[in-house]
Amino acid sequence: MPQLRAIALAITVGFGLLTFPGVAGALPVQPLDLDPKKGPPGSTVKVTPSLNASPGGCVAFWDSQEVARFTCGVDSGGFLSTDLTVPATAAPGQHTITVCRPDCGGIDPGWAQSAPFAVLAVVPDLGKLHLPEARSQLKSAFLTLRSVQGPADDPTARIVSQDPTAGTAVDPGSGVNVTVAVSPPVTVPDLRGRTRTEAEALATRSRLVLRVRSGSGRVDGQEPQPGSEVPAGSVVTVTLDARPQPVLVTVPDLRGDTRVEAEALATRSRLVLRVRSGSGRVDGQEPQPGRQVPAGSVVTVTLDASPQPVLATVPDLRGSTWAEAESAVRVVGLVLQSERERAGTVQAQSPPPGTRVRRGSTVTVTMAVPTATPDTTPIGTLRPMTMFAGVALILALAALVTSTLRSPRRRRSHQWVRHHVRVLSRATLSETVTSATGPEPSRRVGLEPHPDHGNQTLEEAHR
Amino acid sequence: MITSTVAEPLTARAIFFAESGADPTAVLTQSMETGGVAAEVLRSIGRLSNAAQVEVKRQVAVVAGGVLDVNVVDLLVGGWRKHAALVAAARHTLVVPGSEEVVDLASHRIRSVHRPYVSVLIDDVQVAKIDFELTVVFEIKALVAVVRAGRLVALSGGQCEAAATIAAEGVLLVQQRRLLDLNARLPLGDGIQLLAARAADTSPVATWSTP
Repeated sequence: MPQLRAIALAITVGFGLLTFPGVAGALPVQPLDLDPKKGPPGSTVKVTPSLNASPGGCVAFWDSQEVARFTCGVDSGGFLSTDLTVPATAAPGQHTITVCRPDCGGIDPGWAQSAPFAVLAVVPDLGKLHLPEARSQLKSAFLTLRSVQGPADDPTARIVSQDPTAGTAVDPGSGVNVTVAVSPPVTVPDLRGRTRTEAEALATRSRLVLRVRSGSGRVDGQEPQPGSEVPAGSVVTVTLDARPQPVLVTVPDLRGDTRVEAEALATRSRLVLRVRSGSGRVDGQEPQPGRQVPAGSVVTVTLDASPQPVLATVPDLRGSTWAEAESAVRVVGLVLQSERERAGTVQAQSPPPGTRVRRGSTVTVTMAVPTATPDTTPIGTLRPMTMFAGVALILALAALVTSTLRSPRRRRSHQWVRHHVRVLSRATLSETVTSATGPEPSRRVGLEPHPDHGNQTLEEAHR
Repeated sequence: MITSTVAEPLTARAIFFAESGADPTAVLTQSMETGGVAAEVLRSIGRLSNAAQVEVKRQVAVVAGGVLDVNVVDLLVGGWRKHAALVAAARHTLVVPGSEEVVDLASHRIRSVHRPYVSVLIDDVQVAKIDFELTVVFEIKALVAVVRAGRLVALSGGQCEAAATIAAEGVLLVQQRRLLDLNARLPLGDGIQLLAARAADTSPVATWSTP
């Protein structure tokens, strides 16, 4: 079928439009209008058939190859046109663009127009090439080497400039002027142990070209050897070890995250989280944030000490001595208090065992007084110890009454605060303690700051 | 909005209070009082004289003020260490000694979130915890950075707007917005390391264990 089309096209173009009297006799024959009439491969050509007929389907051919179907004819705006792209593979030189209606492949195409189009040659980039290489490239591009400036006879000389510049479209067969120079030698860097990317960067910086012979890991051999003096632009061939190059990921900043948050973030970053200790928030991690590590690596974190629970469970104190009970409540952060005395064992307690209360709360106990032994002392006489205890009790009561009477006035006074509230503040504010002293039960209120170095995230705007 | 050149040290506290000259402790005390945070703290402490309550609230505000003593430079650098172009420039300039790269940072945003907390202890027993959240957002435009030997050594051009908020127990205490003159006042010294310590090592060996 393509051959048939080509034959019909040749007939159409070869014999001219007058071969088709039905068309030629009815329409004025004009050449196919192309704008521009020459250009490089990939350029665009505006094709305007001068067909004085109602708009209808047309077919466009590049040489004998159909390249487009479009609407041609004439309307109120004039002749209809279309844009054709010069094939990227078109060789420099003369080509023919043909437009037929309805189809150039038929026995009677009805109507056809054609025009020549000159494909221009594109000047290649000759930079850093030796002259023989440059000649070869120019020949392939349908161009010639016109003149050479510089040490053309030196085989190490490389092209440092060219005219026209690379990418310029010129007529096929045109000449290109070049200037060559001999570059000072460069020292081959030591590429061993580096990744392919690093080796490429280093070679480029040293004005050398890297060529990888085999492998995919790190450079374990190179030629020429490190320290060698070679012309700039020389090839350094390296062999890489067989170890596959790991996929590197960036370690995220997990500090301040909870364990769950840290695990989620680590998983998203293709890392594995391992908790070394603690149960609060992450306060340390290894590797550090921002490090590049192979995907699947372990990130070990330490969590801060879990904050102590605010609530405590009241222990069962019944049957305990005062000392035992006091020890039991202190362990869970509670305070023991007796309604009357501390002798004997706990008979009752409030709140009852198992109650959940805020830490620091008071547990009040009723102690059982031990059974009194028969007292043989005659009525009306007091033993010395009993007398001493009684005096002490009276004095204590007197002091308590005095203190109670004075305390409202004291509390209203800021002076009282200065004398009775002691504030200990370390320079670093690592601990601030407010301690109430005086005749009332002392309560130390402490503030313990837990700083957070924070987590920085970056959002880059799309350019 | 306040526009000014920042006086050193450039801390979050400066962003909040440097221009107004307000006493941070007084402002935070007032804000915590208004927002009900102080009442919650005192409720957890329980029986305490009025004067002692005032003192406790003031101390909480002092500690909260300490939260603001974060260095703005550290926050910015923490973000820039995640900037792909800057990190790439840092690596390149390390690989090629003596080289220098100029990086057009264009528009970017650095968000720094801090969640410190304060434990309230009575007789060494924790009875409550006050959670704070400090957020500082830097909107930076048209900043050009110079990188040498893996370090950020100079900045030029650019605009930086910092917006900072501090909250306690979810209650917003203070917020402020301010323009910062970065290239004029950011103390870069001998340059700021843009890569983590091991990453800055030109040796590319990675030794992290894998599962």
